[in-house]
Amino acid sequence: MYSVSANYRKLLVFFLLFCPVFSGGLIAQTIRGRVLDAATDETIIGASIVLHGSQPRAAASGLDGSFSIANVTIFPAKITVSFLGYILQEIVVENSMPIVIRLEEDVAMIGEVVVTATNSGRTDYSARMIERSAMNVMNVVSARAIELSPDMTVADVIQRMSGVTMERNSSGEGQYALLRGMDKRFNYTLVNGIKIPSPDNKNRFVPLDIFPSELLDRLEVTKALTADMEGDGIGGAVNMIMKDAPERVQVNANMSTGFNVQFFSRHYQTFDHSGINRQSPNRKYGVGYPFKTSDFTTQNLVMTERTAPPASLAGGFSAGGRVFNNVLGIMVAASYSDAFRGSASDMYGGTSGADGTQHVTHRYYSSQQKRMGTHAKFDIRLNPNHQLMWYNAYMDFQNKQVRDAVDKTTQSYRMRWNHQSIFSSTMKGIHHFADKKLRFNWALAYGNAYNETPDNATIRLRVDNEHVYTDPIMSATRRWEDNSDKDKAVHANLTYEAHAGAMRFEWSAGGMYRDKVRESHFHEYSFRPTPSIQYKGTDWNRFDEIKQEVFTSATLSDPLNYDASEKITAGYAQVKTTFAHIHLIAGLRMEHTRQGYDLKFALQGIENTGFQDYYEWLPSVHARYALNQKSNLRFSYVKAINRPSFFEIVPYAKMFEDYNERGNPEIRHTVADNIDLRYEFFPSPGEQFMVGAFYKYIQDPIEYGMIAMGQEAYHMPLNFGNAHNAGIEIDATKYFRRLGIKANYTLTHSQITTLKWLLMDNPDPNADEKTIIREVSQTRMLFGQAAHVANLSLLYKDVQSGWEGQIACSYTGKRIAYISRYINQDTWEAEYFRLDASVEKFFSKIRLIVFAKASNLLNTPMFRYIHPNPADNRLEGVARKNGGLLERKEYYGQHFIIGLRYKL
Amino acid sequence: MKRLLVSLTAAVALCAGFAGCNKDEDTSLAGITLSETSKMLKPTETHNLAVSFFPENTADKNLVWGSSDKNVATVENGTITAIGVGTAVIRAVSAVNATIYGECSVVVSLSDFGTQSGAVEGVWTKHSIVYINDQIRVEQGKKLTVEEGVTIIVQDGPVGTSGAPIEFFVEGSLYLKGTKEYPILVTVTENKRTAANKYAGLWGGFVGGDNFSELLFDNVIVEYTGALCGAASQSVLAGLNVADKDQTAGILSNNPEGKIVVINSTFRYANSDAMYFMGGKAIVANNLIHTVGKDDNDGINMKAGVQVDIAYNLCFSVNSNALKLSSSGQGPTRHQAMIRAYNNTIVNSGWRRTKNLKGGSIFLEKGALASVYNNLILNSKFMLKTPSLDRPDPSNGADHNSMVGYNFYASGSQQWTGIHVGGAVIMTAFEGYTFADPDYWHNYAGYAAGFPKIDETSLIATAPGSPDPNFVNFPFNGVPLGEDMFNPSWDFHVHAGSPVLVGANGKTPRNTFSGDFAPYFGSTGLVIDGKEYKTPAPAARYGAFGIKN
Repeated sequence: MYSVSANYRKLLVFFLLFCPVFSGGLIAQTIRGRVLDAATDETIIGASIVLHGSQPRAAASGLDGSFSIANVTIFPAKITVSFLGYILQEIVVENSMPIVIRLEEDVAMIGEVVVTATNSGRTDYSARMIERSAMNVMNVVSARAIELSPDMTVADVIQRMSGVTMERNSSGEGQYALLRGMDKRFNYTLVNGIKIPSPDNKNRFVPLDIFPSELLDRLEVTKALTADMEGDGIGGAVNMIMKDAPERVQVNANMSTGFNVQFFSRHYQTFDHSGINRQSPNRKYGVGYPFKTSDFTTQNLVMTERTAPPASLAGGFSAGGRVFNNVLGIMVAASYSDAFRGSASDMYGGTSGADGTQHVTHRYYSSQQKRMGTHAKFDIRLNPNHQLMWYNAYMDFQNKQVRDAVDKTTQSYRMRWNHQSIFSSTMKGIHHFADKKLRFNWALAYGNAYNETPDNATIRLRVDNEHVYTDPIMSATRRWEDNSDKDKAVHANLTYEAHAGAMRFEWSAGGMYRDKVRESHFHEYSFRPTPSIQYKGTDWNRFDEIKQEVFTSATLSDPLNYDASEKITAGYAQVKTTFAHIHLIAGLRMEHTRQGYDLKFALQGIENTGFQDYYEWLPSVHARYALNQKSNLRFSYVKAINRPSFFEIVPYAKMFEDYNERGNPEIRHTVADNIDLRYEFFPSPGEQFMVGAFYKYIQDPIEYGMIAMGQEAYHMPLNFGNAHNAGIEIDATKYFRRLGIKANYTLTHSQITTLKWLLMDNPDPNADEKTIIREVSQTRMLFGQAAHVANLSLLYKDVQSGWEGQIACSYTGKRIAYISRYINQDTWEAEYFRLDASVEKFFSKIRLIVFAKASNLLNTPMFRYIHPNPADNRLEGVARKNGGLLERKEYYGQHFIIGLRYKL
Repeated sequence: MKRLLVSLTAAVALCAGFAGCNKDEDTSLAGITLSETSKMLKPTETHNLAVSFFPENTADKNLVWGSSDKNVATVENGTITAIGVGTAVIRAVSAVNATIYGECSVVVSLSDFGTQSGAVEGVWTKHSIVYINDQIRVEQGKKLTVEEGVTIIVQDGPVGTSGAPIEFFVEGSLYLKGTKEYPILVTVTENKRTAANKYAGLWGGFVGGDNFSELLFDNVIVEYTGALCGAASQSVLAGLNVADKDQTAGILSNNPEGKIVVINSTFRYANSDAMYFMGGKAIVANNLIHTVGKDDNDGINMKAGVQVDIAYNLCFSVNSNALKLSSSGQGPTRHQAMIRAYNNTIVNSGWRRTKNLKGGSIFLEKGALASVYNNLILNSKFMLKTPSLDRPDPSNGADHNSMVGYNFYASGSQQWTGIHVGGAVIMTAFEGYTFADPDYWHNYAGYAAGFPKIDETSLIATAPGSPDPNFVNFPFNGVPLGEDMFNPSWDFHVHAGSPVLVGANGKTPRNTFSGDFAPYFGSTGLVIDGKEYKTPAPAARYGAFGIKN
């Protein structure tokens, strides 16, 4: 498929032009060449090239597979080329003409199946191959690239891909991917091609930061869906392919430690969560139970501060191989990390007082995050026609966080322990019949996701000139939240290959059914101090010493106690055809959704049960035209949908982090038409250049806006209208022996026109009302969308010395963080630049790698602000950003890690 | 190596198994509840209390029953027998754990009374006692009239399975027609009407929803309101309040098209605001508001959608602001808050607030359009404040067309003995009036043109104790600033020559009342239940009370 001779010719021309060739004589010359895998033409990085004879010397192949040995005077010269896992080659070099060396893999038996298994995308090169030969628009990151990068979780990895932005949590770590700047809700996450339930109570899809990056074989981001993929990815789909059993037994282990710079300048705050009751008193005994103060522990209210910055610890282990004559493949992996993170955030009031001072609330977060992942993948190759796979994963994420919030008159301390887990088990089969013309594959998937935040306690205090004392109204709240999701799914696909003259057809049809149930609970209790004012220092020193009693729980029958369900039935038919230089896939998918909720406690005045039931027909066409052997042109059209999350359609109203939130049973699902065009050029193995353009017409996108009801403003999911979204993507990878550059840039332009409020003087001078609000329309970008997203990585690798390193920076342009009701008052998140670096040294004799990673090197703050506008521009004494009103400033601190990695 | 793989696999499978493991069961008794927490009975009547045990499958369900007063009620095995007039507490104590018990307070009364809940309409006849034992509402298009002398007793605390405190929700019209001689009393059971419960918020309050038509409170006493809302509170389900955060006001309103008249009434012992209007044309006049707000609560709290006259009210010991005037919530369908507030007397306001300095007497903010004049602010923590006045909009400062002046800020010499909120050491009202406060824009020189001069024409105390309003019976320099119990013998009328009547230091009360100084409903009043109510005209003096006749 790939022509090596073309490559060779190019090299030849290059050397003829730029390297003077001397024939014969004693003049020193240089031996140059490239080392490739004989079977796949893959670049081999780090092969050892030894020149024998009177001037023995050695070299290693670089990132592009090339090497050179200078000052060779004696020809013919004998060199040996070797690389672990390949058969050593001896070559006699006659002159200084560049040579290409193809190494054969050192595997005794390479069956047909084995070849498909080796092209797994684990290396960067095969990742490029997958991108290139994929029928639809996709980007792939290999495990090797992940290992080399400064990234610790899948979330860190994915942000390096073209058109990907991250949404961060309060510690500044990425959690959800925004594809081409579209909100996280528009894309979905797969593990080995299967959807798994999310423990997150608000989002359908799993947060990426709970996956350790070392479990990953590769990461695929699909930007245009085919009919055999689930249809709810308007932005695209993220597929995490977990490690497969290798042909030879492999063992990898790593260990690292690190710290966050923040905790050098302030204390790390923590508490003991071991005594927490996992169930609220009323969850335990029933909603009618008369809860009492003694039902609550005070052990978790003891907040302690550590002066020494805590050290993170992480370790990972994976082992894999094949047994019983290679019939059974086993891959097991486990990872654990215990990391300490923090952030410091200042929130600014909208104006300054007459004295010119602005109200500022300072928040300090200290978090301890424990991630545990275990993963077991088995595959059985009965024979080349029948394969079975069984994949199991259990992931567990704990986040213990103290939020310390202080302003001039109040203090509050929130001690929250959150625990999430996912168990997923998938069985898959691939069966070939009729001389491989007919293929049947199936999957059975079971997933169980759990999320709990038991006894989330907030202590509320007040401050006078010399004292800190209890809030006399409510000194504490204790909140229990949990949700559990169970997914059961079955997938089946049938594919038939046929030839009609020169044309090859692949017909496929299939379907899936998924049944999801969720159960959610929410209880909150309020405490008041007795006596109502208790001073710190005299009445108490620690929060557990405050005398307080539970006085109410207003939420025992809250709508957040609900059951949710979703049944998705989908079917598709698709044809794939190849003729001449054109590859074409056309398909039609039908998805039926029945999504509903059922409140556990009937409440008057709201819908206690609700259902959304709809069909969507989703056509898709993908065409790939091979311009020549190195370049492709692609086109695709896809219709896709987006469903409301399970939580969004529940009619709840609740005070969460910073806003009152409200569900919206009336919210409609989104339907979008997507067009993609892409030009791809692969100048040499592993290198690429891509330019793409896309356009999306999105009907009823779901965005969050503030809605007034009574005196309360609610942050609520809404359909504001229809949006247009268009953009250009550029992605390039280039290697120069020891150096490599990867760069990508996405320009997006989205538009949605909505009605906004304009405050104005009443044109009627005789009216009682002097100031009125009119509705006017304003065009803006989609919520969460950045116009500019760019990534740049510089790689260095010197195989001989064993050093390699990477500097990675990412830029995300400004984007809307909150949509205001008022014209020109949307809150924006300012442009964000992040610099990360990593370096490692390989000690080949002991097969040990020492590595160091540094993230967020510039400690770039996150800013939220309102664009300059006439009303705000007049203000004096207020903090500003880019000329507008500053609303929030947040720092995450640098994070450093050093560690060891061992490979067998 | 293979063995390692197998054992690792087993370990992984084990981990997965733990993911689904179960908790152990504890069946020891944790609590009991009775089917009612309060009950009204007539002598000789009996009532059976049902008991719930938690957990349900607890082993020992033996109980010991007792009554706090066997002359009022006795109990045997859950059956109460009413004996004589009075109140008694019935208690069922677990035989295994004496710290676990359930209680029901029993009121035995000779009067006839009706128990009401759910949808109500019609007439509650004069001098009757009505007992409300669950959520209650007047539906759209329906009317309920309550006649003079009626006592309405609301069950306190969370009710029913909803676990929300009672709110009296009105989508139609409610007419509370008390008289001076026979006011209507809306309260809780007698044994709960204690000083200790003054800020307990025993029940919600009255709520006029999105569609209420008319609300009349004439000679009504409303007390023990302001319970924290629950998820099942009617106001929460209607989107007016947030569970676990908001407390229902004595009267909450939401329909800008509705009409509200609150006159000659008393609002007291409230955990939350006395009135919180988010909609309606309203007259609030000649009321007594005292002992209101546990913390961060106001007396008369007006928002967008309201056009209101507030006149001749006496506010004593309101936690934060006696008047809170804001146009927050304004939008295309909810008009600007329009307020005329005059001749009110505000005493001891703001001192009990511990949250921050955002309360002292009157707060004018967030786009509200207000005329505030001829008010007497006495011994309160701060003067009228106008936060963020440099940014007039419904989220920040007041409308610059507002007029604030001709008020009298009087300060006694008594000193504050409580905590100093936010580090601001303010010992007397005088110090509060002259405090360098970021929300005082009356001295601000930064904005010259178009900026309203707040209180430029007002009379402000020149020293603690001076000038003295010369009250008929109120110890100007004596009543502690933190005093929250209202003494009915106090008389805020003044003697002849008082600065309340004639002004002082070159400042005088306003004496012409046209344009911004005229009430909205002074000449054309509000018609409620066929009767027109007009706001009493402004008087050329400070405060609600003039010379004693």
